[in-house]
Order: sequence, then structure tokens, then C-alpha cells
Amino acid sequence: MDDNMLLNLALDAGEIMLAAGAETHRVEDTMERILSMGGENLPEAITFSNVLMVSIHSPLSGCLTMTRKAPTRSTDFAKICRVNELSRQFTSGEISIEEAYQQLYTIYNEPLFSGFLNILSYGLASGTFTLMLKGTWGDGISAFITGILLGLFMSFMAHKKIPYFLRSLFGGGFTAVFAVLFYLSGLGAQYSLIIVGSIMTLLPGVTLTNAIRDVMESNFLSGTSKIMEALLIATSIAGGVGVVLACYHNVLSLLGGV
Amino acid sequence: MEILFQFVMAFFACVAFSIIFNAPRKELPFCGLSGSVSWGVYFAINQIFSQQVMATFFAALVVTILCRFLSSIRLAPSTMYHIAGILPLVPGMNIYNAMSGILSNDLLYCFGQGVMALKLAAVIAIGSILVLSLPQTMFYVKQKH
Repeated sequence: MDDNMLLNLALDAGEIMLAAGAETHRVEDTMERILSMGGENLPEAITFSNVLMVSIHSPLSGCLTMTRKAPTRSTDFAKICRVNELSRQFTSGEISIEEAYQQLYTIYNEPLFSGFLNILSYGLASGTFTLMLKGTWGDGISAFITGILLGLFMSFMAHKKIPYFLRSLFGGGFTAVFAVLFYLSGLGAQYSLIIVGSIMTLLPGVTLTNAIRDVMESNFLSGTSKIMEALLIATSIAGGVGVVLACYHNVLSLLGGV
Repeated sequence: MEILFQFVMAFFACVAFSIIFNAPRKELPFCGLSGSVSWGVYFAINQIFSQQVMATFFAALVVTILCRFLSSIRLAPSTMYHIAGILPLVPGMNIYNAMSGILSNDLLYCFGQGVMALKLAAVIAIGSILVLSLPQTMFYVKQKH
């Protein structure tokens, strides 16, 4: 088996998994399994927060090391599952390295759920969370509409390649504006519940969960960097909501003062 | 009746989340189940003892056990079910309250709520770690081949 090709395959698989939001341990494990298909070659795979490193020491081509920087994350469970299965098939010898390459390529270019369904789920998640927090039906409907608008806004910002913390900041502000509007229109009873339900889709739950798993598996570098990321995102959402609500309260007191 | 309503709502919320995270179509009901179990445990304990922290701890514990069994049955990464299950427990309300405390200059309230959010996050971590550090063989379910 060609060692260079093996290294590339391992890196590609690792990159897809890391970008899709798999935890560090799983990425390292998958890469090492793929590398060990090259025979007795002392495989080693290391992953930090967004860096992938693989190295083998094969009798055929000597010491080989490759490094790669993983791109920005967007959680995608389907890709994690598919790569997981692919590596299982490859290591059991069901498919050859060329076939594995081809399949990885299709996985890499796989589209997400259709845009419509995705945006509808933003609304559904927001609405149901508001109802779970004992909001009224009016609150739920307001959160549903706010969520759909938020989904559209978020995908627009992702399309425009706005940095992630600005996305959270604007997303929080956007949610607060619509929550207050629905409250003023009389449909929602409490704007706080509408906001909390809708920002649930923005909160870094995945990052936090993965950070916990990383720290537990003693990948402290990845774990702490993810915790910092989660804190930054949570703070920017709170900041976005806070700015809008502060403006709203100030306008109220101004009108009351007149 | 109330708990049944909450259960169903949590199911739909977690299915919706899994669609946003692009879970495979055939895993969607299991992601939803994981979320509704975690929220159901949380809601029941919180209702009976009105102990938010304890409720979150046991919910995280139960859902992590469930997701490890699901992962062994469905032969899929446990992360997927775990993330869906943890999502309803994320302390969004406390983060919001902490922020509103800053706005109204009630710093004591802000501090209390902020610490509560950290406490809940830590408790989710402990509950998950307790189960995640057990060996996989404990969650082995006999497969049909």
C-alpha cells in the first residue's frame, strides 16, 4: 500500500470528522486505525483544537509526517457517522484504498438537509423550547416565527462568511428585536421566554458537550480551547440580546419621562 | 398530563435540533427520544424536589447511559445521541437572567444566576463523565446478525 496515499486518506478522514464536530478522541482513533492498515509502521495521530498531525515510520519509505489545519466547524452528524462506517469498512478490508478515497470525496461534498427543512427546524426548536419553559401558546407561536426568521438570518450570515462571534452577537440582537416586537403586538405574554427559547438554537451546547468529553479523555488543550469558545459565544449572544433590551428600556423610560 | 406534554415537546425540540445538525434521517427518532428522556427526568425531579441542580445531574446521568446503549444498538457514534440529549439541559435561562441582571444594575442577581449557570454546566459534565468513563463492554447489547 502506498504510504503517502495512506497518510492523505487518514488526514482527509480526520479533517471531515473534526470539521463536523466529532470529539478529539474519536478523530485520533479513526486516523490511527486507518494508518495501521499499512502494516508494521508505528502509526501516530495527534489532534489539537484545529490541527491534525499524522506520522508513520515504515520500512519502505522511512519516516513520514503530514500536518493539516482543519477549517471552521459546522456540526454535521451525518458526516461523522458516514466516515465512522467508512473507516470500519476500510480497516476490515471490505474496500480498497482507492474506493475509500472516492467515498470520502462524496461524503465531503454531501449536501445538508434541504434549506427549507433546516429553517423550519429552527422555528420548531425555538417554539417547543418556549413551551417547555412554561410559556403560553402565544409565546410559543411568537418564538416559532422568531426562530424561522432567525434561521434565515443565520444562514444569510453564514453565506456572507461573517465571523462566528459576530454571528452570535447579531443573532442575539435579532432575536431580542423580534421578541420585543411580538411582545408589543400582544401575541407574546413575556418577551424573556421568547428570547430564551429562540437563543437555544444559538447556544454552544455541542461545543460544551465535546469540551467535556475532551477534558475527560485528558485532551486538555482541545478541551480548554473549546470551553473558551463556548464562553465567548455565550457572552456574545448575551451581549447582543442585552444591547437591544437596554435600548428598549431606555426608549420606554424616555417616553415615560415625556 | 403536564409531564407528558413536556415529554412530547422535548421530543420535537430535539428532533428539530438534530435536523439543524444534519443527523442521518433514520437516527432522528432516537435523537428525539434521548432529548425527551433527559428533559422528562429533569422535569420530574425538579417538580418533586424543586432542586434544579440535582435534577440536571440525574438527567445528564440517565441520558448518558441511554445514549451509550443506543450507540451500541444502532452502531453509530454515541456523541450524536449525547449532544441531542444534553441540549435541553443547557442553562440558557440562567445565562439570560445573568444578562438581564447586568441591564437592571442588579449585580447580586447577575452573579447568582451566572454562578448557577456555571454550576449547571459543571453538573452536566460530572453526570456525563461518570458514565462516559465506564468501559464500553458494560453497554454491550447482543446484536442480531
